[in-house]
Amino acid sequence: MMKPFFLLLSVLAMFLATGTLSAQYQRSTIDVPDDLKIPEGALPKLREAFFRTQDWDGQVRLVVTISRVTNDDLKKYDLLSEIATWDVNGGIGATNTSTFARVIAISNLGISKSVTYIPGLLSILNSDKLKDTRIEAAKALSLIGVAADDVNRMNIVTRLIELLNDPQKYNFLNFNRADRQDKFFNDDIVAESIVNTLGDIGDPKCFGALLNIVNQQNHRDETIQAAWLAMKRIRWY
Amino acid sequence: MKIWAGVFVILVACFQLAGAQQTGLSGGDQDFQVDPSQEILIRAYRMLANGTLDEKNKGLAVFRENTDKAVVVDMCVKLLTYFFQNPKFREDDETLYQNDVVAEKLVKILGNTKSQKGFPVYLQIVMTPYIHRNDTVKAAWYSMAAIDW
Repeated sequence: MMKPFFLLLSVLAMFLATGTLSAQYQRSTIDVPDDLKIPEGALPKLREAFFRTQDWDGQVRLVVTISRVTNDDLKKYDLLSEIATWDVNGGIGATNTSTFARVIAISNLGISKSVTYIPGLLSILNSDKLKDTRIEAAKALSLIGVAADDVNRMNIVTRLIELLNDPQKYNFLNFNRADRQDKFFNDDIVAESIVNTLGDIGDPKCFGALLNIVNQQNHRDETIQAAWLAMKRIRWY
Repeated sequence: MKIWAGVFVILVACFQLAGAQQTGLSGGDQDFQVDPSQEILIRAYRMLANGTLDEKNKGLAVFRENTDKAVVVDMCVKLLTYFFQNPKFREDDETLYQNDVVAEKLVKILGNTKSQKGFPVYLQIVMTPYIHRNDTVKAAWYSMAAIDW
């Protein structure tokens, strides 16, 4: 008799906790002043504070603060890369790092446009369990890929095509497109981001992989639509 | 048996109290080394720690005139750490609000020194924005940005 009551109570508590967390995330990013410029000397202290705190809200605030450090070299991005790839396997219970903090760190790696972070971002895309971090890694690779030299751009494109063609990753052989609860559904949202990244880079080498997506129809409509658009954006000359 | 348990609890409490005093966790002024000519700074510290609002403002004025003295930095850090971080802070409570206005002014005084010693307390303030006014948090951010590393 009491069991349904406790079940209802725990569901309600989870709902409230989720609401509170998202409100906190929102507040975290807002309360860091836009024009804040932190000197480079603070980086070691900020690093220490980040890896010491268990408070996710605080971690978000610290990552935003690190992103405001002013320096000409890549020291702050090295730290953000460390945070972004801190626990590539992620997942509930496997990490004490805030997903949102990692998403902000990954996003900043894209802003850096530095090819140094390509392997780390590809490893997130390949192995991270969290959808949001993988989507952000694809977006960051897009920014880096557009600005990169031929060799590094090819490196990104080749790896992204491999991921799209790999049945263990984003080539879903038994995907039920009509079922939003399908286990591949979240992965396919990541696949859509990868397709968009290939479209942004526009390398002709990705044509085959994009054609597979529209032919095989084993993706969501959004992903197939993105593949059509990406094909249009290929630079053939 | 119960008596021994009671004795044990009292002993542990005594040790903890002694430890806290040794590490300066009490927030007292006994750690500060000032020469007799700077006795006014100790008085200002006490006013800021436990005084009325008027006394706190007088203390701030003394600190403001002595920012070139190293001990003022230590005093500001200690005051902000132990006397101006109230977990029960509410903006609609006049006393707590005014106390936080004093905290903001202390942060600004500390910020003007550009000392690295202020970093942990600035971080503490910006990481717990819900127990301060926005202006205090903002002052902590900008003081952190102004540190001379």
